[in-house]
Amino acid sequence: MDTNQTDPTQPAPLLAPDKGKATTPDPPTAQGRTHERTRRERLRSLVLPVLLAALGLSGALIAWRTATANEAAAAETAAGVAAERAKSRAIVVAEGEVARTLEAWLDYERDRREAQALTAHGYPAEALREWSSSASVFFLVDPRYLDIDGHYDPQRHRDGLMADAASREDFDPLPHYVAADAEHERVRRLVLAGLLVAAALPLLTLAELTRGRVHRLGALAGLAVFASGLVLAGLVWL
Amino acid sequence: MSRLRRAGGRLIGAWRARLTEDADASRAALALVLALLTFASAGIAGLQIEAGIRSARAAREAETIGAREVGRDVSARLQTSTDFGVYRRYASALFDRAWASREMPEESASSRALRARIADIDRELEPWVRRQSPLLLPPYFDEAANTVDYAALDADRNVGPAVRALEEREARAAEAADWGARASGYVTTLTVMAVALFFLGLATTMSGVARPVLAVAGLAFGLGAAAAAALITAAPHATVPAAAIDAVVESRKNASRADASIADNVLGDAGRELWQAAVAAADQAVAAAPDHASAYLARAEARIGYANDIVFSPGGDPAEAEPLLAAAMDDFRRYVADRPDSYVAWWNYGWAAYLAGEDRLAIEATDRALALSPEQFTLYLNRALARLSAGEREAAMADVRTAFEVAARSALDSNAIYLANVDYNLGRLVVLRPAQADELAAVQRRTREAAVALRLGRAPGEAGAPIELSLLELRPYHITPEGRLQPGDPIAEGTTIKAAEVVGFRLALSAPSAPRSVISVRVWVDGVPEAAYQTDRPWPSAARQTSLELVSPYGRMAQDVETGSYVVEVFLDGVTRGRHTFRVEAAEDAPAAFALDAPTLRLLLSQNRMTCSAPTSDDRGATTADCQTTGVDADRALTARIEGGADGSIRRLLASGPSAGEVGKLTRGFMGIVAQLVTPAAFAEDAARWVETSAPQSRTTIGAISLMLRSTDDRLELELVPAEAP
Repeated sequence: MDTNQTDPTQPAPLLAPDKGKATTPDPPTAQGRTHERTRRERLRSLVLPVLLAALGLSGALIAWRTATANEAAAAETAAGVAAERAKSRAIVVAEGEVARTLEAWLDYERDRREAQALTAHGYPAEALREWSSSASVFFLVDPRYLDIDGHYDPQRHRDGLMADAASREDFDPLPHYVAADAEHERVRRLVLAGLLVAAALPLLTLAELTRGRVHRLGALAGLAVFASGLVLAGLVWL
Repeated sequence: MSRLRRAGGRLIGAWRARLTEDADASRAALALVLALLTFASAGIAGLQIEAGIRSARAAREAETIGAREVGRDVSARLQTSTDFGVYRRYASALFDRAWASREMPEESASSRALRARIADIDRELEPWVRRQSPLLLPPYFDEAANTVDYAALDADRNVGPAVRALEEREARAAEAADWGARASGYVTTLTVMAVALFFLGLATTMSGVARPVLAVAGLAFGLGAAAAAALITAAPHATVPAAAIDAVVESRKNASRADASIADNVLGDAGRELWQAAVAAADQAVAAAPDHASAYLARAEARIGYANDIVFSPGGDPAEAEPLLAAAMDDFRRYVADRPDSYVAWWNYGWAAYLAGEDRLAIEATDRALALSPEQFTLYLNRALARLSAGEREAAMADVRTAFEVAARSALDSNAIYLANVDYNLGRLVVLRPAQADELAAVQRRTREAAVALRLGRAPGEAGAPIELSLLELRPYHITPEGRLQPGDPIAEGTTIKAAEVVGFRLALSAPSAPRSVISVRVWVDGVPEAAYQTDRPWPSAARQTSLELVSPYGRMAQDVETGSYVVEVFLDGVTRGRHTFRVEAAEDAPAAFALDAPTLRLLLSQNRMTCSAPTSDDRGATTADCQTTGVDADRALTARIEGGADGSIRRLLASGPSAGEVGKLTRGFMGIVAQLVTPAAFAEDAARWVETSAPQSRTTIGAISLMLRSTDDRLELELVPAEAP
């Protein structure tokens, strides 16, 4: 029996064994090759279901992040409105003090001027009465807010009181509103990312159901859209 | 049809050809539809989130405007209050200066100097004081008339910004509500979409006839939801143009000023112009935003305000108000269609209908207002009037009873205001609707008693103690220069007195036994309740008689009482016990006989080598001052006696001096100068010439002055008195 004879039932080897050379490892057997192909096909067939599962998971994560960003925006908005209310309250308190001071100042200044004039014109007794009268309201006058001519400056007083109040309480709604707007912007981008991820679903489903060119196109397009959604979500995540 | 079927067949064929070998074509199609609808759901969820964001932002803006406005509005009103404080000081300084200048001649030289100095200081301070308040600066201060236009300042500083903030806040709130409604709409479509996905998911697991049924149902729900989402997205947004807000603000400002322009309920030309401007501005608002409910409300309220002032202005012609009332009702109808929960709109709608004579509509609209706000007692009174007009007397009186029960238990701050308004309006309605005059007068009586009872903390309608109370007499009060009140002759019921020098009234009352009750007196002038005369006090213990001073603060400063028809009513524990009516007429203006007043003449003489005594005054305030040449014996002195009235005018002037010798010539010259001084310029020379050339015992009238020259022993005397009116 010629040992060199080929078995027509067996596939031809890709390379003929070269005598005299070191022997190469044995080529896979037909059974092994089939097994390999089956394994590869099985792996390949798992790609789309895994992608679809990943899509579902990423969709859920994006939705969660959107919810937290929305919550943060709501909290910042509430803080901004609270700051606005606090500012309003402080404005009213300051205005009350300015009103009281202005009225006291009018009395003080009038009496003081009269007292000065009476003194200058030789009416000390009458002047004393006016000095006493002006002194009686002086405790309501804050000399820090008298200008160089000695006149009361209500606006400076107002500003001073507001600055003082602002050192004790958050009055500035703007940073909160800016933060809320930033969170809303994040929400919008996450929604866009979520839409891209969701758009991959019909494409990957199509790929999963079909074969040939439609399958390949669907898979490629689905993967691309999904990936871009993930990238966008990743970019806006933090 | 067959072509369509063939195309469908080809499509299905192509679909099948591209499917994997083991795929079930229909299930695969369902899976694809499921995926597509899931994507669509994600899109709708995105729209829902976007709508939520926009709603949140608009709501935030509305909240911000509201919070900011509270601070602005309260501080603006505080500033206005301070402005009044500044004005009070300014006015007080003016009065002080005027008083000082009147009193100065009476005082010593040093006192005069002191007062003059103080007046100078005040005068120097005045510009600075005025700068502290816009109320004392143009355009709110009229330099010529020395008056302030508080209504204009209030409109600019308080009303306008408050209305603007309200409008803008409402616009933002409406925007937030619009986006919120869209977000809710998207949630609904998402729910429907979930049902669609449920059916389609079920269909993929079913076989046989169930699959197509479920698939069709799922598809229908899915497409329906998608279509609804598209419609929600495409729906137009309700926005309010800035021009409409500006116009509403203008309308409200004008209406506020028009309201304030009413003096004694009389609608003047200024008031008319302001109301017309308010209506015109609201017209512009409606034109700029035909769907803006607030514009219709502004116009409706301007129209009803104008119509109300016409109807209730004394002598007003209700026919003139008819077109305004009809148009106001149209606007209210339009407004309540949008805002059916506004009880204020229903309230005014009902009032407009009543004034227009639409009693049934008035009752229905007031019913709607009462359903929304049952504690507003005025609404029961309004419905009572409409029911009276509709001939439902019993129901009307039941409403009157309820009104005062509600007023007693609710103790709303508005009670006192509305009771006074209702009282006045009822008085006018008695005139306008003679057919219902008796019933209306009865309602007015109960309103007055309720107002008194509520002030005393008693339940209206409680029967008082059966005490006889007599209104003994009512006298006018005059005021002396020293500020003492001096009663005049009794005023008989139904008579007319002159307002001249009447500063108030004295009311005497008697009871057979001393009642332990609170006595209240109220005064109405031309139907308007005069709060300045309002008096409530316990009957003096053990006394059977008592008297009350009815003098307003203006009377205390010697200002004459108002002219008009007076009604004085006396209540014991909130129950009417007496009434006195009379008229006060303006005193006829006597011609200004003398060019100077008594104090000025006295000052002039004292500055020209004469010494004048301090004026003495009698009980009526009449004054007498004597002047005489300084440092000269009495028998050789030139003298002048100045008799003045309480108002300072010269009532009689006597000038005298020796008639013989050189001094006699001086006497003629002196008398001529005096006559020239006190006579109006047009007659001054004639008067001087007559005095210098006429023989003793002559008499003449020059201008409005009677002059008489007399000779007594060795003295010559000139008497000047106002000529008697022909």
